[in-house]
Amino acid sequence: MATREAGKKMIMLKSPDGMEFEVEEAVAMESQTIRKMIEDDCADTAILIPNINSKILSRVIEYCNKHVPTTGATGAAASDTVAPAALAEDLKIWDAEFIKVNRATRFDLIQAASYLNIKGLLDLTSQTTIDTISDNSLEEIRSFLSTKNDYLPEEEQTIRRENQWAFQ
Amino acid sequence: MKVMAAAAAEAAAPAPKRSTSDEAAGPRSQKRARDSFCDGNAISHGDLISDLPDAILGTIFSLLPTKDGARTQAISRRWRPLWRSSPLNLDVPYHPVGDRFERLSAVSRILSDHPGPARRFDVFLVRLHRERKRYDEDAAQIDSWFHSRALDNLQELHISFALLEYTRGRPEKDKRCLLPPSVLRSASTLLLVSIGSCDFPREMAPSLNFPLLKQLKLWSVSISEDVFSRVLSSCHVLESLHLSRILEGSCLCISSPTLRIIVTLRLFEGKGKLVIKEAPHLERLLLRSPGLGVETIQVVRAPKLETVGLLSPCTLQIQINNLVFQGLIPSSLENPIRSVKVLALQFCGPDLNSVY
Repeated sequence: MATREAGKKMIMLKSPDGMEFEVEEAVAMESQTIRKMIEDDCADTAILIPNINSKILSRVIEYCNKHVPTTGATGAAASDTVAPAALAEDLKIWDAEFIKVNRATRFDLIQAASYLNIKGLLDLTSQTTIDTISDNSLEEIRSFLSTKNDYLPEEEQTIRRENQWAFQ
Repeated sequence: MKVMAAAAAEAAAPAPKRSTSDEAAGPRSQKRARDSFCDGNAISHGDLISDLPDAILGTIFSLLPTKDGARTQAISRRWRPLWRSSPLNLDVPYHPVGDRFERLSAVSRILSDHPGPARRFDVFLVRLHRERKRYDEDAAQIDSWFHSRALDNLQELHISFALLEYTRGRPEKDKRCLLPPSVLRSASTLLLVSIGSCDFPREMAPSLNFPLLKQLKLWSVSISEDVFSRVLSSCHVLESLHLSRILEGSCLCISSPTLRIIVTLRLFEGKGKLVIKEAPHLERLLLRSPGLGVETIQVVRAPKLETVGLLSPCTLQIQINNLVFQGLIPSSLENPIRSVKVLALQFCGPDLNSVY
């Protein structure tokens, strides 16, 4: 539930497996879905986040905590002393580490980012999937996505022929 | 990180909203939750992609290069319809080897294969034939792309053209294509535009309007002062303007209530002048490397200008407010520029005194 701690408004987020996470309002509002709930005054007590288990929710909060604009979160703005470019670079490195998770977790993160409407996280998680599809052969993509090739050989040939330009 | 996790039972006290137990959630969330609880184990998911809602698939496909997107049709039956039913990211990369004209037909082919809508169009160095008749045919083909319904709500446009004639070391002798007016047909939905290596028409349609455009990049174009002003004044939310190798004889005048950043990279090919007349929100003027010709840059009113540079002694004359720097030497110190916090200079000698 909403409480005050050290002058910052806190919000309680609950996962369906019964865990509770107390986060600063500014951090929670990185999610446009939660922002809307708060702005519409639907967040006076704890907010239940359906569909997102505690393990994934804690990772999402970790992401939001890192990406909340520094001025609001730390009082004395870090951006006064560190160049914005260096901050952006630091975030990029952090993101790259953050997304080093197994495939299932990544797909859970994509869904969570979509439901909570956190654009940065959705871009980050989707981009990793896009890189996989772009960089690999069809066989490798199938294995990455645990997808079985259910085409008959002649069907696959037809598709390849019809879209020959894409397979050159 | 400030995250406190507690068991549900401990915090159950004043919880007027519905219970947080699994049973209270709908069947769909129960399934999702069950799936999620098993995570860490990819096998439990089966086909991972089939779990994703259509909106996310759309996002993923709209970022995939066109070729990779089309290839996914052959992954499995489940995948077959996905590419065509997602927004199109139309890009045809440039390959120095291969048929120089085949990319024209490649774009037409993609637009006939995919119903759209396209979000992004990115075709670099479109090549048209030199002979009049074939040039007209090619231009008609380009027109047909931009009149196709698939490009109705385009958000990002990157287009440039190959030179019709090239004279080594004499850019003023090069012959460029005329920008087909249809290219800007989706102006009302564009957020980002980059146009390169072409001649702008002498006149723009009076209805031209870019209500959403945030970023505009022009490189190796010839554009008249009037048309440039006309394009800028039809942008209502433009924040960033990138200018590079604008062709000789140009005088570009910028008045924009919203512009925050101007970046130039070898601004003019020959002689040219850039006047920033009225830019109340301009914060950064980044002059990344001087052009080959003589450049004059004049800033008349930019009260929020904080970062200026790189000023180079070689070719650049820059005037901010009434202060003229010629070869980095300010003409007088009567009108100090109070807003600038960062100034980057390139100098040949050790005489920094003259800059202060």
